[in-house]
Amino acid sequence: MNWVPAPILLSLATAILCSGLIRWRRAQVWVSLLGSLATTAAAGRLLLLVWEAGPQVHVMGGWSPPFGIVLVADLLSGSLVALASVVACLSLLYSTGYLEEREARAGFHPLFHFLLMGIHGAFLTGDVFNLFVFFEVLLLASYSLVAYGGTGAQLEATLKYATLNLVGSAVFLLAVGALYGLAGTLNMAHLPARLAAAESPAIVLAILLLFVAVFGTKAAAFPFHFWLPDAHSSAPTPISAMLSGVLIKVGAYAILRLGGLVFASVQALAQPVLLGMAAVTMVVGALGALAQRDVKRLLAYSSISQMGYILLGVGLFTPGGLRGALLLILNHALGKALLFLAAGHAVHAAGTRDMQAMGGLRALLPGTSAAFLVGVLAIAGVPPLPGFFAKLAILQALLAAGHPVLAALAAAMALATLLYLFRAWQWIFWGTTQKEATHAVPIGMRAPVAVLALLLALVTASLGPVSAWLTEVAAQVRSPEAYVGRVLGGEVGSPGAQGGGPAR
Amino acid sequence: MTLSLILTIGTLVGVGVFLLLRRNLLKLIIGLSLISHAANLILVGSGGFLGRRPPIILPGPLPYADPLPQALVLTAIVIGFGVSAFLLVLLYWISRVRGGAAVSDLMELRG
Repeated sequence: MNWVPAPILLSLATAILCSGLIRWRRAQVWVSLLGSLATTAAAGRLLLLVWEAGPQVHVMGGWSPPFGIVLVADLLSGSLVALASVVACLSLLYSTGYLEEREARAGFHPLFHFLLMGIHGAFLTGDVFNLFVFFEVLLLASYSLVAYGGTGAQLEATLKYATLNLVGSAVFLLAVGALYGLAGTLNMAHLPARLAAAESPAIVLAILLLFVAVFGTKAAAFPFHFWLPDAHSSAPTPISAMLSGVLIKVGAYAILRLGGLVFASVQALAQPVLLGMAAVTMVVGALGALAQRDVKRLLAYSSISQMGYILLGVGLFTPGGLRGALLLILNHALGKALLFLAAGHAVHAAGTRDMQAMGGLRALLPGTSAAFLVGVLAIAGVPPLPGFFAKLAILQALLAAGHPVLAALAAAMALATLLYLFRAWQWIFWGTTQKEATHAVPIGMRAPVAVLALLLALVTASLGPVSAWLTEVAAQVRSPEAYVGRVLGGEVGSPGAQGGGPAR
Repeated sequence: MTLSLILTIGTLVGVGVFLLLRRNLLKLIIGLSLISHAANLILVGSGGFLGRRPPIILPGPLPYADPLPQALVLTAIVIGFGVSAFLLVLLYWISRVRGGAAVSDLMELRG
């Protein structure tokens, strides 16, 4: 039994089943929830396997690498698949409560699982063109989900999101074409050797920068971030949590994977560009968030700013920087999903997204208020939550690598984060009650928020093991020999490749 | 042959960008689709575009073209088709909600 394709196949199967059950709403919801639980279990099993036995490889269709497409799970992709499926599970649970009172349009659950399939596929694939395909799967599903409610704002945001990302996809194809023309292969494990042997590193660097632009668009890095505040704020709340919590991390993952593995030979040359982009992203996001009164737009801008921090760590590519970036990915995935979902309670109860018009919701939603505070503390990086240690690690790595200006900037923006998030919490939950909030929040919407807050507490309590785990992940990212060896070496025939395809 | 391919790609991108900058959203979508077709042609070119050589290895010493880029392009074309269909439906909805299909009809977009 090969577990590598399991998360992708389970998501696909759930999506197809849900499409078939489109007329039976209740059954569809149950299938969707069970499918997502099964995906999470499979992702957990896969991660355990990777931890025990090293990177796992699945050869698709029996075409041996580097000719066929392979799926590879190493610690990085395994951890991210598990994280994504947990956040997806909780968002899905939230959506059952969220959609209850809204016009029930068909297609939410199938699209959600197609989105999840694209995310898992993008994390697990070991082929650059296959990465493009999975990116398109997840993007197309996310376009439809952002437009789900069919309101004017959602449709406009989708058009903007789709336009920018389609130009990004064209550039992606251009970069894939250039890469294939240069190296003659698209297998991620086969490419590094071919590229290191390329005659001029300049053209390799140019291709890497094209990819940075493409994945920068998906990760909302400056100057490609303009779609995010509109798309993430107008999407339905559970989708906002998925987009901000998981989807933009796929872009960061792709930069990390390509920069660390495929383009390792020119990674150092691209570093100034990445660090500069990351720093500006961090500042632009924080300043944008300071100016918002709409709670979902504030959280969206905050996501841009946090992506800046993550990309700083990724760009540094030192063990400390990577550990910080990975911890921040974990922290932001849980924390920002929590904040979006909890803000959804407030919006649901108050009937407005304007924070200054809310006020005094603490009395009505004491649990939400506490959970929101946990999210605020996590994202703002207040000790002892993991956000603090992540940002500290990135700051230390910046100082160690001789970038005091960037470190100062990162520290200043951490303060700005604290300011705008605490102000948001105060506006929403404290002060006098401005509106007689009436809507009760259904249990389906409360439970995921509580679980996310508990998960953050759990990560905080077990920060030692988590940190050790991430150090191991960072070490594997920095020395991908095991990855390359498993894909290309003779070990493919062993535990990795038995499950799939006809016998060769 | 390569020169004509390059000129075609250049023309497609040029026209595509021109259309992207129009005020009409339908032209925007046509522009996007032209740009994605230019990208497809680049992908074909990356395998060494050799005119009439088939991407099939036949018995005998006949020359053949690299089949991989052509397989990739086939996938990319299908994806592009799906995306175009989605965008056209989106445009239809926008024009129904907003009563028009020009950039100036979009009202709620901000930074």
